[in-house]
Amino acid sequence: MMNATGGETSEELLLQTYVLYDRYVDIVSAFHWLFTEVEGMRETVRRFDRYPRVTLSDGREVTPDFAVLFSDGRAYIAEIANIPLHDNGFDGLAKQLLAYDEIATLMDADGTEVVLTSCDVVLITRFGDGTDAHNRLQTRLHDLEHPYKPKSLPVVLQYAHESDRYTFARLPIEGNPRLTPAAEGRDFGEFADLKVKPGRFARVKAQHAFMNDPIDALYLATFLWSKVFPSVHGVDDFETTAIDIAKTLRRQYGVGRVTDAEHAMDLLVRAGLATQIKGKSKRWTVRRRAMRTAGEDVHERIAKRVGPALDKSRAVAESKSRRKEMEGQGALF
Amino acid sequence: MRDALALAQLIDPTGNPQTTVEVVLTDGPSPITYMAPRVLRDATVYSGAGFDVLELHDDDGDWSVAFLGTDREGVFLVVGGSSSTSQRWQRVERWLSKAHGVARCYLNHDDFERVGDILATYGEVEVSRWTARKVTDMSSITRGFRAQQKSERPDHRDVIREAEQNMASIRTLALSVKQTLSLHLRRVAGCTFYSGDARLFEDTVVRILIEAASGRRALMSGRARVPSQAVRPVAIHLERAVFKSRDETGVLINHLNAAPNVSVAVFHRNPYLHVAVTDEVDGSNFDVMITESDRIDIVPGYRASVAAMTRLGTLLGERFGSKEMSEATQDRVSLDSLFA
Repeated sequence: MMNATGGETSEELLLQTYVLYDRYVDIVSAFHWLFTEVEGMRETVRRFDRYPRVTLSDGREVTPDFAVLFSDGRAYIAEIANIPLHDNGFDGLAKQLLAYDEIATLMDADGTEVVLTSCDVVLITRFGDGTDAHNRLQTRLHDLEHPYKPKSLPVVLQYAHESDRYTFARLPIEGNPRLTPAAEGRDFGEFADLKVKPGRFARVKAQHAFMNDPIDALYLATFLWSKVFPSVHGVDDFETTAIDIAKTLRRQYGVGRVTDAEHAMDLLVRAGLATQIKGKSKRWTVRRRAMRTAGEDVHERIAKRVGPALDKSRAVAESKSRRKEMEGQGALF
Repeated sequence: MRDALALAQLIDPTGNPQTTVEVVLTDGPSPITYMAPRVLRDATVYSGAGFDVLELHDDDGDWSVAFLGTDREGVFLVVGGSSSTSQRWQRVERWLSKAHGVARCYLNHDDFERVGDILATYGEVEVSRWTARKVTDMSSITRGFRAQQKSERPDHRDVIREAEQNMASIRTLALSVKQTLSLHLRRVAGCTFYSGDARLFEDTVVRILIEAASGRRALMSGRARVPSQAVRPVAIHLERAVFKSRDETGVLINHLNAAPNVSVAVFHRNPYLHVAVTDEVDGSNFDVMITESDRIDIVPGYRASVAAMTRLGTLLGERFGSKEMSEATQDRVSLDSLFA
């Protein structure tokens, strides 16, 4: 379905990013399971950090999608990415990967700083995107004008999302580095065709629920509505704040940002499922009774309620922008 | 518990020995605690140590239903003199299904079969009628065996096998132990005494149902999540592989969406399914996951009452043909096997 301006509707966009975020949660959960539960691997891992925040030597903070610290001091720093078509977007990704390349220490679970013996930056892309990502990074590396100058290119892994499993494989082209293997034990540096069925990581996914990227607003709104709010407040209407929501998320799932909570609550307000309390910008009454329970999935119902209003806002914004352009033209001629 | 039939005959003194029993679970209090005020307003309630009796009146006259505690915590018998198919008993079932703290229990295959096995130690077991349901299209199978065919009547294992060959799950059995006991047994934990040795009925049939319900209650208890502790899922193992495609997992979503007081949020479907299920009465919530075609996993959230979790298990187990509900286990996996 297209909107008035010929693009996808807001409802469709909301549902697409919801699906993508869930897929990324799956991927992080698959690696979380691999590095913490699989025999022959878990014994070598000192810490799997699902929500890493790493401070670089110059004080900048980076938040890769996950970090694996091995007992022998090696580390993998991973980023899952949709490869942007536009060069500006890709430069943003390159800048992110360059910052990860500077990571020299990681924190152990008990707060001990561990100096790394090696640090592999791992870029995880959709199957079919890996070669393009690798080549564009190579180009920037060899472009003397471009700031992307890491110690090493990232290891590109690709994932395929099949009906009954995820398959991960290192991009098999020359120039794509191998993962640094342990001095002892199995060398899986080639990372050829790792197959993970959802049943393997389902429990990890249910336990941790999110990943380190900002939580997709529709995903979090649905999650709050279906799980967090009923757990904490039951099924009656109640008042809450972004800070309370973030605190609960951190206590229950290990991650929760006030901005994520605000974006999710904004969707619930637009959907008529919450109202902002007058004079208090980040305090809401959640109206659980406002949504009848019968018949349709919660996230689809929220998207359906929010979509037209967002389309209208977009249309107004686009029309204002067009008017501005026309006014500008008038001044020119 | 031994007095269940005596009480039933007391509350229905028509001389009809038929007694219907259903075994239900609660978080602890008597089921009557959760009954709608409207039901209680129309009834006279008599309560004593371990029992409550509702005395009611309808166009056919006075009738009663009793709620008896058992020696197992949170397990109660609902007892009456009406047949399980009567309008009166169907009213009772409607009350129970609407009472949010009460859950009915879909028996494991082995518990159901065990009733027949134990009765077989008292004499030859014969099935006069059975019903089953096909999971694929929800069609019913009913078979009856007339009295003159008595010598050809099958036993309980024969009919369970026949139903399974027809890709169906047994739901009810009318059976008798020769010259000793005649009864009706139901997969949604219940039974009806028709005639014969009442003590044998209570000591075997009702006892097995109580134990099965108590086991289910233990399985579903204390599973609400606690921060920093691992989730504790329950697995519903199905008789057959029914979730092989996206359309087939869609049947589960539709089934949940059609259930009263349940809301559903789909996180993933392809056919690996991940949905959040919320009980809109008490706020209990669960992740329901299908990662194998013959299993449904229920992962409890931070609020998960025994009644809500048992109800969800019964809702899914009854519809999709549960063979057994048990603690979900996870296979150990080696690194080598993943790269094979």
